[in-house]
Amino acid sequence: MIPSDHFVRFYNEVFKFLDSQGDGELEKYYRLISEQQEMHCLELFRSQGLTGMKAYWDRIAYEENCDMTNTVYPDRFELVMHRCPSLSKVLDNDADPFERYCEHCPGWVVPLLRKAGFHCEYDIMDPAVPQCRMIVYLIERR
Amino acid sequence: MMRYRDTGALHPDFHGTMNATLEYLGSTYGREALRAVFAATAQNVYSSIYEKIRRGDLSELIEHWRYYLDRENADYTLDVDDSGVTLTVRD
Repeated sequence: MIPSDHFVRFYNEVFKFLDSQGDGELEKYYRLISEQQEMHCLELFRSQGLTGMKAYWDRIAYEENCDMTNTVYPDRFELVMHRCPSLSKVLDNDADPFERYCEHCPGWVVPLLRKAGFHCEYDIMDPAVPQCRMIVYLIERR
Repeated sequence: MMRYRDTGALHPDFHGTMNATLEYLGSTYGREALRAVFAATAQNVYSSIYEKIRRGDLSELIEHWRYYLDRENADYTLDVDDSGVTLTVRD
């Protein structure tokens, strides 16, 4: 068993392998993960919108031990990651970090949010620093 | 002494993502892909366990199994004697 605590370090090795298989192979995998995440998020986001997003990412903040702030505004949901545990673990690792590790997050989140009827702006900021920011808008309200 | 010692809450959904990932790698790229990713994980992520095993020292592997199987509430037994270690996982 690979402990759930160590999944992200395994993920990091998966990304290196897929990237070595050629252009676009990593992005195909992100789409698979996005489709898999639909079972956790899609109906929640469609039925409860921005409030559903806060509920989902509040659970993630607890389960993944994130230091992040999730806020619902009338026109948007904002996630501010002050310390991402995923990238932090990949950096605290005897294996080398995959240089585009952070891209997996928008890789699955953006297609899922689009499918649910939302527009997402994702700012990775610096892929070597475990901080990022995501803003989600209802497409109709932009 | 273990290289990694996580604390705090667990995110069990990662096991589902792990399963989907292994299914995808195996069906898309074949068994060699699975071997490559597992070998990279075993030898690089767990390099301290790997290097100790190569020297005949199972101590960190045993500590790792105990710590993480307990964290995941596994039903298991770990039998250690002079000949080696046997891990039995029931649930």
